[in-house]
Amino acid sequence: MEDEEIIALFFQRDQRAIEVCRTRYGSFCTSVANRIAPSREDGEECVNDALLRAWNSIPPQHPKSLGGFLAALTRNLAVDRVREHTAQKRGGGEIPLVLDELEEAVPAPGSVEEAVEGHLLSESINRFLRSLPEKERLLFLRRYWYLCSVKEAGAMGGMSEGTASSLLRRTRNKLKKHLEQEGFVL
Amino acid sequence: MSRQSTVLFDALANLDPELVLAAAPIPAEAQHKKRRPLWVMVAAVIAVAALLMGAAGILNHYFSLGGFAVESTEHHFSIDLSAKGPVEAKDGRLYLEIDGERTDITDLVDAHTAYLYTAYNASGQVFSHILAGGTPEDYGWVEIWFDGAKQRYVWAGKHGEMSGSGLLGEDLELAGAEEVADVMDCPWIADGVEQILATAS
Repeated sequence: MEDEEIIALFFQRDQRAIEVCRTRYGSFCTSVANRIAPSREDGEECVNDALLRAWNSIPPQHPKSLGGFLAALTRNLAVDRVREHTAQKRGGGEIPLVLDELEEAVPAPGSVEEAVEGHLLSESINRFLRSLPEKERLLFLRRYWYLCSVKEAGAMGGMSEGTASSLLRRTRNKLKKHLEQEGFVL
Repeated sequence: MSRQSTVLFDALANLDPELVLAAAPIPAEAQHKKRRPLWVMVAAVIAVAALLMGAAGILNHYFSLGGFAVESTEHHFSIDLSAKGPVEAKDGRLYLEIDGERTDITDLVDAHTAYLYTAYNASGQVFSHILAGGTPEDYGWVEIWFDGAKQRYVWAGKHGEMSGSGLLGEDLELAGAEEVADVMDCPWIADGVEQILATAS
């Protein structure tokens, strides 16, 4: 069943939509969740919650990419789980490392959160990512969206950890310049 | 970490799902990095280095296998990359031509796999490595050779719009194979350097 057919089930409020999604994208979403969530159990719950959120948000939403949409829901729920656990001082996996790395992409102290609405920043980053060579874009997303380790993300692109780390550093610097050029500086 | 980096991180949550999906991690079992058998060819006698002028140690000129000129003094090192490189794409095929010998390497390389050509001097010592890789549409080469006078590796290469040259230090491994791959920014170079290091170990 194609994405459009599945989305049609959502619009018809046909609950088979959830099971079809689980069959088609369940393992993918589980892999996304398990990279981030504090435990397998948390990961499974994130996938279930993501499917429920999809049910509650389609309609009115009509995602262009159902797999990407479900993955985003799952990823964000898993990040929330990590934050809950981190607040309880149970570690945060890759997230603290990723946040440290993203410091280098912040245009100027105090500028982003005060001057920019989240969705505008997301759109700007989308434009930035589309401008990158594919290899660089995939590496960035695997590191900062899927929260793969640098070594793992590099290996997926045929790069060693050192090469991936260097490329990520350059990409963060490019992102910083891009955000500044788009006016994300006070 | 600052609140700004958290804002950036949160903004990533709303990226275009299509972009995100295209970057879906590859399962470990599917990541089979293609390895090629080590291609070592022994050149009979390749007289590629010559002291051209000046007293020893003052000014050295070398010619690389790829036909590139190297100028080296105590305080200066440069490589002239303007000559025709050793790799050529023609009719959808990739060819490596060294010392008059032309080899079709199209099926031996890809974006992640390098073809390694190793040349030996008359004493049987490794003199130079040439790495070639990529596709007929996006290919390049790197030469890594040993500067006997200075006891260090030097390298030069071109890939796409990128070109570079430099010193790797006395120990290729310690100097970091990543240095070359990083400058040239391409996976097959890293693969080729790993092949070289494997032969040295």
